[in-house]
Amino acid sequence: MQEHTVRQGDCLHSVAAQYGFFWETLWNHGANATLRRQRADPSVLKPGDVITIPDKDVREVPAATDKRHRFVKRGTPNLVRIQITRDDVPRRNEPYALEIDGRLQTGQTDGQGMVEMRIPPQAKQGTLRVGEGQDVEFYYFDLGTVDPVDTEFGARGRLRCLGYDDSQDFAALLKEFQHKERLPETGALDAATCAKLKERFGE
Amino acid sequence: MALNVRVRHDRQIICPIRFQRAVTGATVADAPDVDDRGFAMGARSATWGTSTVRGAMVSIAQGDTARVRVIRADIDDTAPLFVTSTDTAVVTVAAPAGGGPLPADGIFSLHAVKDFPNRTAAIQVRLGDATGPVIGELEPHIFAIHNLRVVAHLVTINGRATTRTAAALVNTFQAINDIWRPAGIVFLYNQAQTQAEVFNGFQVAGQMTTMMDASIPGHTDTAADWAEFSQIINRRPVANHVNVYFVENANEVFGLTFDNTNARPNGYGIVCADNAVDNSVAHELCHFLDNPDHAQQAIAPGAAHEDIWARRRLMWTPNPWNASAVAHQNDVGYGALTRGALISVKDLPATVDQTDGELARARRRSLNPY
Amino acid sequence: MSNGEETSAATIARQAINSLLRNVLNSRVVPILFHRSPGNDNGGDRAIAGLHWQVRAQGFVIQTGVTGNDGRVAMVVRGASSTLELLHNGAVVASYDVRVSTATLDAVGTLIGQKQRLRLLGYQIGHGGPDGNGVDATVDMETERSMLDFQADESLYDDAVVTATMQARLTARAGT
Repeated sequence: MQEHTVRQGDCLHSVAAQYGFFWETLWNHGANATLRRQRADPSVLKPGDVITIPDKDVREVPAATDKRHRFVKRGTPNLVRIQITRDDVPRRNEPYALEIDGRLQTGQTDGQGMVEMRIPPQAKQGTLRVGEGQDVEFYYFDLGTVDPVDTEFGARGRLRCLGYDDSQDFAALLKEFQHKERLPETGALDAATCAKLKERFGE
Repeated sequence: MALNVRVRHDRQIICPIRFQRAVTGATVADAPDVDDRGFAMGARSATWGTSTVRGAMVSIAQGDTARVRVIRADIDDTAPLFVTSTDTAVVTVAAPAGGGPLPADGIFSLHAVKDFPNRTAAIQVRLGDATGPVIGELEPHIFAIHNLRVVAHLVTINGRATTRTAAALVNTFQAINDIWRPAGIVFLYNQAQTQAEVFNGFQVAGQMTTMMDASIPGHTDTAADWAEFSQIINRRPVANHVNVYFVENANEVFGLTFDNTNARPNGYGIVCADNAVDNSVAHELCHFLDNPDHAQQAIAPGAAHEDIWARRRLMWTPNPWNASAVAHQNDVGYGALTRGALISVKDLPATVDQTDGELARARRRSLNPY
Repeated sequence: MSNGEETSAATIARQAINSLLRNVLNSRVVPILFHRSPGNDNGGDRAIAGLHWQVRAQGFVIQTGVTGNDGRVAMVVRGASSTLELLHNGAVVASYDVRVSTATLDAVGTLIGQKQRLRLLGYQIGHGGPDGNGVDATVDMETERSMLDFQADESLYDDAVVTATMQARLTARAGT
């Protein structure tokens, strides 16, 4: 067995693909039970987390030697799902173009302003265009790990996506969010704030 | 260079430019002051035409070229700006060629082609090129010149004479014309016509003594308060001329004027003391042309105007003034404590100002001033 | 953004194929109105049409457009500030760094509150002060000139003295 230390941009799916495993195999492996308990969500890992990579089992498949055999790799493409809002109102039924690592998908946002696309596990970057004419807006994003919501980086990252000025002092930033969400303005990343942030951002 | 605009989450209006006199300091003939008092145009006089333009007004004599400056109040210094006219039969852009781009100092020149009744033109500032979006507007008014004849009287009182000479007054009236010509009014001073007037038996040698202010001893609140003034202005006035009498000293004023509504024998005319600078003589001539009020005049319940607009008007008094506690009020672009020379072009509503619209009144009176 | 470095893009999580989760990307929009003269537009008497613009945020161009007869740009502001750029033949000829404050305006009885409202309405109060938009506690030439401009435009007595009537008018035009 070997160990993989999570780096920025890694998520369970990319690590699994890197080593040639299905993500469920790693996630459910006994050696990673502690990690599973801590993180709960395989999409949310922190740099420094250690994933135990088991040895590969050898699987034997009997096959005639003078025929061609087709083996289909059972891949686990990931998904990206984004809800686009403007001043917290979903941009419903608007044309979009989503490009991820060179692959383009066009369509219309659904009734909740959602865009969804299957992506390879190691997909890195995306550009999204929503709307048309003067209402067009471009979004540029990286794909990867979202830090846990109860960390400063995780909270800042979510608030950035939600449209806040995340460069400001952390306590002031949290107070702005708490004020808008009618939470007690503690300026601290308390349980209520984490829960509301998770709800607003999606995870 | 980016401009910082902090927006409350509601909205933000950006108004990129405004207009201003092309020079600072003393009046220059081809750089008239711009009536930039607010962006509403006020009441346009009878034949000035109509327009929906909002911005500043400037007056120019027919045939003249005048410079005006664009101020980049809320747009980068490097943004390319072009200036065009909406009616080249009325006014054209003489410089820069092709209307732009404006030089770094923002100054452009207009050529006043013709004074048309009921025909307004706008000067439009555009972004990018001569067909770009219009980001600001100036409304020039072109005026055919009315020439007014002036005769000077050099006065001796109880043996003391004014120090002015007929020859020196040539420069005086040239400076006065620098102020008045943009309004289409020119004072023709004929040096050879100058008359010498001698008075004896006045209260103080060399001085026109008046007692108009209640605090002055001898004040009676009757015409006797200005008896010496009346004597002077009724001394050999030349018909069909504006008569200006120059004395060495006046105790209460730099100058005093009655206009021709004060029919003789009470009399009308202008008296100026030696310490009346050229701007002050021009101020008296404005009184003579049917503008009796001073720019600081209060409209109750408001107080007297002490603001920078009032101080920039030719009809503000006094000149110079005692320093205001508000530092920036002590130079309105003409020098320290020095009154401006703006003859108001706009006639703003009575709730705003009841002393403006001076140019229209002066031009009407200039048709029949004597 | 796990290592604390400021990068330009947001981070979206890769989801498992059967995940029900989504990530939200929300934009704040502030209307920027370009006028030839300050004050609220009145039937198109002052709005600037035909301005080509784009918005640059965090290093990327995120919006483009041309103003219509209302002179309006529905500008998205991301992060601390975004830049509204005016274009001519595709080249940037002017730009505005726009920062959004969600705080309420100061009381209209205060000098700051009056200057905030004058600035909101497009009166040209200069570029001093901590935000570089002219809002500070001094009455300089630009401040007095803007007060006079507002008074004249509103048919109020033009003496640069802020009366209760003028305060009420500032609130009526710019908001509470």
